[in-house]
Amino acid sequence: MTQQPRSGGEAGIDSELLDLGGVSLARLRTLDGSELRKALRHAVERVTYIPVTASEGQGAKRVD
Amino acid sequence: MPNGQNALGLGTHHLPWPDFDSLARSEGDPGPVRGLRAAERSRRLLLLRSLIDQTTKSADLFTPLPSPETAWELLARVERVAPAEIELILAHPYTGSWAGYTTRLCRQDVTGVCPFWVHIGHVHALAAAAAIRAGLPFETEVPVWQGKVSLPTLGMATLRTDAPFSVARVSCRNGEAKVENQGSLVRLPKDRTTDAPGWWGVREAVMWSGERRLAVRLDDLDPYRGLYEPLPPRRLTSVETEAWRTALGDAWHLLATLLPGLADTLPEGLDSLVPDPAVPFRLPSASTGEAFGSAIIAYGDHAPTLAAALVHEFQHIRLGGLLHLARLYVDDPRERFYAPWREDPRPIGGVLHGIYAFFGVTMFWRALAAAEPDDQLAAFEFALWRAQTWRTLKVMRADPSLTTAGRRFLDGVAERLEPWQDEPVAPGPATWAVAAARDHYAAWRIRHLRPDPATADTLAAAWRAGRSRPGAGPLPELRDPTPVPDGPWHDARTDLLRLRLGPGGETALANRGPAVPGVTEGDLAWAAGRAEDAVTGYRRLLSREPDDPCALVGLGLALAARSAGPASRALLHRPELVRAVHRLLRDDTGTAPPVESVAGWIGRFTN
Repeated sequence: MTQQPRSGGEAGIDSELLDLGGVSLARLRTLDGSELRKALRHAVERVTYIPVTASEGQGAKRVD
Repeated sequence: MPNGQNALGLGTHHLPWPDFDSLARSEGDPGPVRGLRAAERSRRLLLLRSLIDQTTKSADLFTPLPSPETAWELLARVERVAPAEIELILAHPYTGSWAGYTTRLCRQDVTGVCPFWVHIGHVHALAAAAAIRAGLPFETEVPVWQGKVSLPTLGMATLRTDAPFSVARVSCRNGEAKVENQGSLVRLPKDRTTDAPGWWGVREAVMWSGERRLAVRLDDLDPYRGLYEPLPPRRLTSVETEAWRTALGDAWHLLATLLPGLADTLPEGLDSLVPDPAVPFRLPSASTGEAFGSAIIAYGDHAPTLAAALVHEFQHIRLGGLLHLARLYVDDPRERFYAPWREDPRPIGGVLHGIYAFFGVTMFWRALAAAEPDDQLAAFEFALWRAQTWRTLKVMRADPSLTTAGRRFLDGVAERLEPWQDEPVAPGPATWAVAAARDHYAAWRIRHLRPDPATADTLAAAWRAGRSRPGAGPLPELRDPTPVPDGPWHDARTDLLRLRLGPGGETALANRGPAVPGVTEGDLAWAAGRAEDAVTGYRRLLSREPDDPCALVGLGLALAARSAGPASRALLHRPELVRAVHRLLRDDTGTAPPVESVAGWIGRFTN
């Protein structure tokens, strides 16, 4: 995740999340290669860090 | 808006700073929220692809169901003829929860609430729901949990079976869909939002305020609608459903009137509500970063409070989406911050979420207080949350765990929140808001800060020696809280203030106040403005329970309401130290001076 302006592009946050807009399911099933594996690994690893937020009374452990 | 393309010919999601700043300030058009939704779609597709990759070649992971690969094929068929239905299934919040939950099971190689094949088999239910929506002829098999078959976004079929987990066949021919097993058959009605024999449809609530529309599914069925683990259905009655629609309609009208800009954006990020039962005197709500578009909300018929809860959860949803793209802080699970909306210390991620959520809550009450100058509850909530959020934001901004983007995010919040601190608020509600904030902080301190034992020993020795001052230097300020609370806490006094300042006023306080959980005579007297009676009530309580956090802090508040002095200062600013010293003095002899006397002595050298 970087925050540098892209060359010729609008400055902002460049995430590590692969943009699958416009990719059909049929094509997504056949995509392969190191770039895809990296994207899959990133998505899978981040599921450990998903915050749950709840006001008190929900019985939640990680709450806000 | 793909970033520079890679070898696959694909880019990564990019969030321009203007959109980032617009999200931080919670203003602007719905565009940035659409961007977050698009990113969430990519995230879910990646998780789905990963799950299929990991499970489809190991029959022991999915048997007795067909391979998950066949579900992908059915989804792809639907996409070719009815792409909008695939988009709807992908955008369904609990598709995200399911993907996250099942991915964690895979990573940890554990079973979950159900056998793993039931969890991975949910992908067949997603595919079947998409195909039924598209009217596509198909047949597949899906998991059955306790006789229930979930078809996400559509509803739930009930089949006869004694097995806790089993398999059912779902099919669609000539537009007629059915779910069956060996013992029963359920035909889905044409209008699938309605109920039919063996079928519960997912109901909708559609609210209008002028041209502004909010449509949400009232999802009491989807097994992945909870916060952590799959849940069985909790079906609303028809009467409850109508009550929800009415309450949401009133809340939406208020929201659209008071905050039209936010109302233009909110529907982009909220399309499903999980209705929870009402909780007396509270309106708890929840969300998870995996279920973009969903909030779990308890029922409440007070429109402003429900509207505030909608804004609150929408903020969590937006920030949850943003965190999939931007790293705002270094992951740090240590619970080291005071959060004025929580009883316990929170980690940096939780506090950041809380700041953003209560920034939205403040925005709502501010607008209502301006529109209804006689609304004392609105004024109270505005005064309370602007100060509490601001106080927390100032602490967080200095924390080294924030990234550059995180600091920029809080700068955006601060840009709007800071000027609100100086806006006039009616004196009565403003005074009560200060008291409620003091109450909460003191209660947090006494329960989660442990005084230095050496300091407590020194003070106890000085007391025993009859010294007017302990002779030590300034008392050390405590920094690191412990998550294990020392004593119970009910926050009953703030519930009482809301009764007093709300629509029923002092009559509601008198009639309903005694039913507030954990309330005491001292609390009732304090909230009614009878400080002397409150002091008497808390003294009586403390003579029996000298360690009680509610009574110790209550005594501090009641004494302060009567006239500020050293005892109230110590009880509100160093309650943990007062209690620790009093405990040592009690240990000495089994009898001890009144805790109020110890507080008065400590208060003489407490700032």
